[in-house]
Amino acid sequence: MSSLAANEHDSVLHHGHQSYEHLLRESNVRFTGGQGLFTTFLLLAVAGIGATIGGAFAADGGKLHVLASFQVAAAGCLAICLGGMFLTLVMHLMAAGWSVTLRRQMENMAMLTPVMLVVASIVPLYDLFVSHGLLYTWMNPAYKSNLVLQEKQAFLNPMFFCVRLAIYFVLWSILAGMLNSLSLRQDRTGDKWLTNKARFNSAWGMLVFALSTAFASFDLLMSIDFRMFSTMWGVYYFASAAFSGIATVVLIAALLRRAGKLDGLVNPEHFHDAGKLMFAFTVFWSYIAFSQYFLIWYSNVPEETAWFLVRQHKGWQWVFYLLCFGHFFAPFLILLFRGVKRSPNLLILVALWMLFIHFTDMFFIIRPMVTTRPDGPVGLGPLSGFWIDIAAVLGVSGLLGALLLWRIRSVPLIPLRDPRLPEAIEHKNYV
Amino acid sequence: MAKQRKVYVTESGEPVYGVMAEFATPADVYHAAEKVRDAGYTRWDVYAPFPIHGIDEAMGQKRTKLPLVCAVIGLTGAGLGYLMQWWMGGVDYQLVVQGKPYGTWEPNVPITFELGILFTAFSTLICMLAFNGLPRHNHPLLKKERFLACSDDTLAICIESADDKFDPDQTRALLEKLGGKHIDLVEGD
Repeated sequence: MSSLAANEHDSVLHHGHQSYEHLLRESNVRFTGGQGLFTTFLLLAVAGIGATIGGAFAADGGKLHVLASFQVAAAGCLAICLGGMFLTLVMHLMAAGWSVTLRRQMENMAMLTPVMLVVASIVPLYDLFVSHGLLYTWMNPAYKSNLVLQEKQAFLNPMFFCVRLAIYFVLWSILAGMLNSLSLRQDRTGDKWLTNKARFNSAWGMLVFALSTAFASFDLLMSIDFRMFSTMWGVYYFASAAFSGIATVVLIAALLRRAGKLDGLVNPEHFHDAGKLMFAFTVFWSYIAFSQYFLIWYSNVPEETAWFLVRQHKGWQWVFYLLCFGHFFAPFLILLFRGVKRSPNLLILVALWMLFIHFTDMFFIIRPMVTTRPDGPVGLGPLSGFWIDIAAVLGVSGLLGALLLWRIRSVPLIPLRDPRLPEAIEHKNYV
Repeated sequence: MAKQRKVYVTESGEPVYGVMAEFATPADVYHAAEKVRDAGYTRWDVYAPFPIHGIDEAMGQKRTKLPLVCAVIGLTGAGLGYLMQWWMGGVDYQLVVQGKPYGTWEPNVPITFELGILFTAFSTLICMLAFNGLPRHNHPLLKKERFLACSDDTLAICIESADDKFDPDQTRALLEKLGGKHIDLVEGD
């Protein structure tokens, strides 16, 4: 009764689905500008990565420092792309109508996942074959006799490690390619059943995504300190991916709106719901990050507490507090307000802050490893050689930005013939 | 500064609660509500057996203050929860548990969180009821036989006599113009 009545009422207020054709005009769903931004991104990438490599010869830098800084940036950017993949999968699985006009940006981000995996594999592979365990201590022959490492030998050995990286690359290429090709094929053919196909493939795709992301986070991040183990680690990296992914989607959509695109296709109603997702993943990250810390703190097992111990001394405690404040309290309290979620301009600021704090999170995970090596520089704070981290993050995210912009310019900004498009255009939050 | 309101009574001396009109479809009542809103009425309501999306906007209703109240009470609850544990474990009855320091923040988080949720949940429910004037045991409209159909297959608008703009004739005329059927006076106060 209720839904019937609501439909009748809708058809009175709106003019039926035919009248949306004008919203799909070329100038509204194609982005051709941004040449200046593209050049800026490329320059940023070249300058940033160049400066990072230069850091190897700086007095406050060094080879180890550069490897760590580059991995901070690469792991952060990979998380953003994985976030895009997760959001695409979950939107298909939930048969979400409201987000159809945002989904193409999620697909664009997902498409770059294999590329960013390659970028994030540079440091571990370099460390494996050239520098022999400078950053990833388990690759270091000096630790071969370590009992903990011997226990983990079945998993942490060069052969299996490389095979796993290859598996992630294949799986993520399949997932990203599948999601993008189904969506783009629907743009051309208008076949509505491709939506069902995407939904079906997202079911096993989500399982593959969850397992591969968790194992990739073990390989790329947790194995840096082979003594550390946490069953929450995969969830932690996934939470960061969803957190930074939705922030990037909102950032792209809001900037496209500012560029005069997506008129009538993405409006405050969509930003409102995307803002709710930003809020949700802020809380989710905080919940699992605290759970991981809390259990380790409470059980007080030396093997585990060592990891947090180095992160609570010599100035690293300030990064810890910054994460408590900036990864939870600030976005939580700001995104509580309805007006913020409905304002694209304010969401741009929130999304930029979320991306900044996301890279700070990766910094907190990886960079203390530089100073915990017995044969490395001992006990340096987070600010020592900090410029190399900034250069690396700017450089690699400049690369990601350039690739994303290229991708955004080469495909329509929304799925043009998705059967749920009218639902997305008419989407409204009634509360 | 309360303006003296005119009190209307029927011929038999009963006070007048308002004027009620029935509408056939959600679209009719939606558009009628927009007109009533634009006519400047403030004390009136739409009655329907199911939620009508967007009716709040058509009625010109302001957003509820409920979230703000709940946020304030919820944060108070979380603050009290933290304060309680800090005082008990860190000041009043210090106890060594697993060699952890006194009054440390980590173990306080779950209960701080729980009390925040508890206060928010209770304040949401209680303030929602209070803002809606509930619980309420009777309503003048319930005396109307035809109004009872509003819980089944009828939609209605009732403009109250307590409204500053209320006038028995003009209000009736407005509802008639908007396509209301079975327009009737409602007795009671």
